[in-house]
Amino acid sequence: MKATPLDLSRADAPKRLVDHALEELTASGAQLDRDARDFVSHVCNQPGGFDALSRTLLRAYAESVGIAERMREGRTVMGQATIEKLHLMDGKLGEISSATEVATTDILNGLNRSVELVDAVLEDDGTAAGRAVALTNLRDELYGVMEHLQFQDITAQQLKHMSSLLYEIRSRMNVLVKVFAPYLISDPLAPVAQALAGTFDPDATTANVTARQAVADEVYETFKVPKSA
Amino acid sequence: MKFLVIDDSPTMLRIVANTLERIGYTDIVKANDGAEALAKFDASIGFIITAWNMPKMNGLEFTIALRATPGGEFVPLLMVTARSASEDIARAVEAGVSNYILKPFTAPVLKEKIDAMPLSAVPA
Repeated sequence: MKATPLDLSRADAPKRLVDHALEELTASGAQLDRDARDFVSHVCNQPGGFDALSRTLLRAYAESVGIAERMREGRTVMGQATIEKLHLMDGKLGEISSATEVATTDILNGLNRSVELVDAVLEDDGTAAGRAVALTNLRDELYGVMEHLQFQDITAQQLKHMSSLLYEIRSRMNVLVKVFAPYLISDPLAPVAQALAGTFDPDATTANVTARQAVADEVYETFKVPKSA
Repeated sequence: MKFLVIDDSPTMLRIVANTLERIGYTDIVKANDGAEALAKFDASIGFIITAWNMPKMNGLEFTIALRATPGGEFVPLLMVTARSASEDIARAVEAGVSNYILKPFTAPVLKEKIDAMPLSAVPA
């Protein structure tokens, strides 16, 4: 029976792998030894040597805890400043956009009716009384257009509210910047909030005014009655 | 009858004045805030229409100051404001307003409130 020739290259492979791993471990161990020697040498050369090391490590630990705490505070500040306020501002912007659209449409409708009335007067060959009625209607339409322009006052109040929210966000961001990089704050914030105080209603809206007026009338009567009774 | 109209918004001042003219009142004095209105107030003023939110002196402070002013105790005063919260209306009543209109208002609503008020109205 003929013996199968032994594949020496395959049989040596595991051994070579083990040898390689041992060489790597030795090399890295030597590197670690060198690093440890350098560190020990460095520590020994410092004033206080190893005695000061524990204090240094404690200080480093305390600093790390402080930084972690400030980061937690920063996250809270950012959370309060951004998410809630930005949601509110997003809603306000949508309301302003809608109010502007509704008012513009109402104004255009009023102007269209006014133009039709002017056309009717121009084409009218009837009585002076009929013309007077048309002109009275035209005047009412034009007054109606003026009434719709009140949206400007309401949207101005909504924009002032947004301005105050932006100021609040910026103030909170400044608190955060003061913690991490106080040198970045060069100018104090302009007293925007003070200037805006009392000049707007945060809940100002053009929506459902007829229903809201009815409720306001009821509330007014409720509060008025006990005093006059 | 002479009206004193108070609002810090020039647009609203014009709209209130135009609406008053539409319903038949043309004698109108305008003021941009409560402090200016107090300075302009005199015995010739028969009716006051004021906004609430204004710098310097707001409509509520103006109402309180007016009611404490000789001759201003019983002048009809209409608050025209965007504030619709119950507690705001209660504060306005407490301050001495004679009635309350929400912005944006219409001419019929303004006329109804003026007509419903006795010209020598005692504040609520």
